Amino acid sequence: MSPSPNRQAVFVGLFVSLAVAILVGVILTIGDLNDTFTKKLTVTSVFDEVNGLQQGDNVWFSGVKVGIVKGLAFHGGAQVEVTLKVDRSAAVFIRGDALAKIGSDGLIGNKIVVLYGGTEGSPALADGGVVVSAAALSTETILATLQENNTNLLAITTDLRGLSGALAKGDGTVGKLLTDDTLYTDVSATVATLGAASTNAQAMTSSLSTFSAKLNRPGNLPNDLVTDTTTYASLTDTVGALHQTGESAARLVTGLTDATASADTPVGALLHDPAAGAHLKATLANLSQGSALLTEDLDAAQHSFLLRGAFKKKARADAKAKAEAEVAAAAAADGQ
Amino acid sequence: MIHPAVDGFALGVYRGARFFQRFVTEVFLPPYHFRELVAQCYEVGVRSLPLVTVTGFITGIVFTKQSRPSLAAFGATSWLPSLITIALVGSLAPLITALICAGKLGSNIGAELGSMKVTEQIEAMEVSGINPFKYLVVTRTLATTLMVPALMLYCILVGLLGSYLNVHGNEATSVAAFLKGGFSNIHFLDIFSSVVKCFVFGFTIGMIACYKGFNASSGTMGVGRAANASVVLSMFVIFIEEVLIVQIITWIRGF
Amino acid sequence: MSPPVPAVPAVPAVPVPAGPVISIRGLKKAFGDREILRGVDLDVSAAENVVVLGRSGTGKSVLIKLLVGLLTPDAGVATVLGQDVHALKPAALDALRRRIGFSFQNSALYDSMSVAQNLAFPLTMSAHGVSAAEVRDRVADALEAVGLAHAIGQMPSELSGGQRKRVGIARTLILRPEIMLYDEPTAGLDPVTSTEINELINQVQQAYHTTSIIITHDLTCARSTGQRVAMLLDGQVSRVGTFDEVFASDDPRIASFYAYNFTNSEHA
Repeated sequence: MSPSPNRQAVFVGLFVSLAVAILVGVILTIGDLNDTFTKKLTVTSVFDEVNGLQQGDNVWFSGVKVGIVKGLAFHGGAQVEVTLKVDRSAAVFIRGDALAKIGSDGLIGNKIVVLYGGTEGSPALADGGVVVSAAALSTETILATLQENNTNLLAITTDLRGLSGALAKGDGTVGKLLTDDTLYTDVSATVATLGAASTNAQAMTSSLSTFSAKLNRPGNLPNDLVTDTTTYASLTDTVGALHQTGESAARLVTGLTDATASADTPVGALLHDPAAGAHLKATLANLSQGSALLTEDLDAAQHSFLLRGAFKKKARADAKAKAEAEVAAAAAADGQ
Repeated sequence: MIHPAVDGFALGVYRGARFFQRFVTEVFLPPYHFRELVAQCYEVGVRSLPLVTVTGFITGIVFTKQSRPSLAAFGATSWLPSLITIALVGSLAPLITALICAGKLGSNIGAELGSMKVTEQIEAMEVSGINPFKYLVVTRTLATTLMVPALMLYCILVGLLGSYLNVHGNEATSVAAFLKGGFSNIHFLDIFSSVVKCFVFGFTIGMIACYKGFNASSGTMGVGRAANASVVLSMFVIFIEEVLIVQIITWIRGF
Repeated sequence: MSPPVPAVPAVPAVPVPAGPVISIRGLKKAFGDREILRGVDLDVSAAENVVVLGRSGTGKSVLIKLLVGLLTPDAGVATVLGQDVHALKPAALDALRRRIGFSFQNSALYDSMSVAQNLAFPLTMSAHGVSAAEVRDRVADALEAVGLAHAIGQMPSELSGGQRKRVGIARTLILRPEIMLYDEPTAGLDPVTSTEINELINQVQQAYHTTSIIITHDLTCARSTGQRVAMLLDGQVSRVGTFDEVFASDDPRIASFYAYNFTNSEHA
């Protein structure tokens, strides 16, 4: 049995009231959120492209929704004129020289128009005004850059993969270096030997310089030495041989340098052969001994009257050259 | 005579159009049966509330539950209220309400008027000098036309409630945030188009069920056929109308 | 079974225009290729009970439905209370219908309404300005007239076939009709109930001075209620007269009808 007609009417009335209440509630909610009842002003902005911006999309200022996109229309050549409705209450905070750009409220979110910038003190946004647009960082650009980065990254990782594979297997110079520890001991032995060799070489050259200094000392050589041609000739021969010995020593040092550059050369092998090293030391010792004897010989020669003149002549020539150099230096100083 | 089927179809369309025309003329002419209209509104609206409540509520929950994983993949579960509200207001609520009503009211009205027709109650009314079209068809069609939009609004409320419970349970969203998120992408046109849609759906259900019942062939079979045909035909027509109205609304949105 | 039928309270006789109240001339009706009525002629005078007899499917029901404009004839004229039924505008037709009571074969009670609502319905819907108290009184009177005062709060589904028939007649009487049309008043009823209905039809005729057409294939009903009997054969009225006059005919079709009714069961 149905309720009486009056009860039915009451129920229907209640139900209809409920429905109307829901409708009113929904309308108010929508109105509140869409700011339908707030006063708005209209501004336009011209973009080269709008990235799929649509009518009804939001307008943000400092991250706050301040209006909506009212319409889109082609403008001039291929530009798009976007009409924006901005709340009057928000517009007072937006400067007239603010810029507009197309943004997005998320990576795959809706497109939005972002108003930003503007200089303090310039007048507020006015109704009917034009907002200058800025080139937007479009998703396409972002994606293009991202793609390029990807390609680079891919090349780098490919190389790295090959390199690490080769290192692990011990291929290539670095690989060998990392995997072969005999080389390290060889090199350190070579360097030690070389150190000893150079000490000997230094000792020899210091002896030589002592000898040459004694040569320069005046009054040591007999005056008639120059007249004695045989002695002089033999002396010249001795000096030439000495020069040759120096050159040999230089070659030896160069060879040693080469030996350190490559572990595979015969010199290198010779260097880190203990027997060869000992031999070389002996040679150097002999060489040193030889030079010491030579020093004694030269000492004797200085005291020989035969050679005194020749040495004196050389000292005079030296002194004359020195004086000439001093005169030239003084002239140069006067000219200044 | 082209083909019996084509003939029958054409005749059906003609009779349907005449029925519609009769409704349009009689709805404005007195006498008006307000009491019967209220009684039918009670039958159609209030008595359908439990069904719409359960269906709307479950739809809200289920739709939210099923949408969550795909949105969660983007970390965008905060869009759930918006998604659900758009779906509910835009098409779920009108369609669910219309289909439920087509099933419940279509069979109710079709069977009631069909059995009245078969047992000569409609003729009895006619020979008492009462216009059965006005008393039966106009009141029922008006009742469905008025009540289906109301039921749809109620369905939105219940559906949102179901959705809110689910969203609140998972994301602890507040009512205010839920509504703000939900209605931020809804415009007046959306809600008005849904209401208008439901007026059309309600009218369709009432008109088709009354036509089928009013023209039921004699016998118990005729009553069953009338009830069945009103449900099937009204559901079919509702879907076609949905497509057309969406087209029209999209066109209006362009302005 | 049913309580004894009380006397129907008498109402003053309505002045009836001279000549026949119902006049049928050359009425034809076909459904598709099937010709049901092939030119029926019949006159019914004021305060007269006329029985139209015929086998099932001979168009008896079609005939009275034509008289109230439920059906439209293919040809011919039906004049009721001086008005051509099929030339009337809807409003005038409705007004004419309110002066005619129509008792349907299956009673056609509104299932959704109680007995009281069924009776009150035509009154509240068509006769405006009737107070609620008056409606209540007239419903009680009409139910009492058919002997069912106790059934006032029941639903039609709770009533027996005979009770439904009585409520159906009461519902037509509530508008105080000048003409009563009975469609198979005894169909589907047991013989005792049939007799009670026949008595009720006669009482209504006497109390309300109604002009009645009774459609039936039941000869018992025809003999007890009909002052005149019209035999409908092959879509035409073949004989009109008293029951005995009609069945005095040697027409084999009438003879077979008579034999069928009284040699077989009551309900064919």
